[in-house]
Amino acid sequence: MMLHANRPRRLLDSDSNLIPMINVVFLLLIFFMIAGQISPYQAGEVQLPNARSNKAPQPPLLTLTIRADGSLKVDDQPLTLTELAPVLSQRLQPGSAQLVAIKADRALPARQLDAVLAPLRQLGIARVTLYSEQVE
Amino acid sequence: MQLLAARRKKLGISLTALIDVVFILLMFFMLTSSFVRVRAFELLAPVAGDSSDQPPQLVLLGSDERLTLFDGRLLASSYQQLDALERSLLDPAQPLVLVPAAEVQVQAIVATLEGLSRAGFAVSLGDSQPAGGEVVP
Repeated sequence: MMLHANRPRRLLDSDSNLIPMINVVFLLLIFFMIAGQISPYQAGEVQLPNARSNKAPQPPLLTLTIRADGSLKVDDQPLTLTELAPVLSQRLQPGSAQLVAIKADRALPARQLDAVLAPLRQLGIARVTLYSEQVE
Repeated sequence: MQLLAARRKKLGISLTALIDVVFILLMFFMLTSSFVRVRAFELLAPVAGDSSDQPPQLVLLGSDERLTLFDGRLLASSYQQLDALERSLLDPAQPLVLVPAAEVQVQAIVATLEGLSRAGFAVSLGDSQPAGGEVVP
């Protein structure tokens, strides 16, 4: 037993040195697979506001993205503010319970958020959600 | 040594190749996964109860972070400290409508909406206040 214990590891097969490393790598792999979620690349889009709410979003019928400079996107289609109202009335039925999601940049002023909410109010859309990022 | 070699042959797969694959998987998951959790806050939610009896309570959010009622009474000196909210000025049975000043950022609006709803109020977002305060353009 003593002899065996004193024998330097490198005398053994080189592969057996790799086993602890593989253990660690597997653990990391499992951690990232379980804890992370694959998300679409969003850089340059919007920085969502931080919040502590824990309500998971429901799939919306329509997503409005408003960047900090006020530029707008409906789903993935860029729009100006004047084009917004016709597009919304085309895509949404007035007074319906359809869900509209708004991804607004955290630095957007209330005045510009208003300009987007106003046509939604006029259409009588009752359910609008504002997206945020959960702070850990 | 012979023994070890024989055992490895039985395993069949070389560890180096396995590690290659595992590393590639690891890289993939490290680069694609994100730990940001997207959450949602519902605005303009249809409020329960008949609001025609009593007008909704309007809460102003100023650009100085102060929360006030429309008549100027102070509710909280900062939206970040809603634990110190003047609850006696508000009726919890009536819905609140948050009226932010025009230059208040979305971050502050979301934090306030969320803080008020955590304090037990039904809250929705109204139109913003014009920049000059009382002056209506």
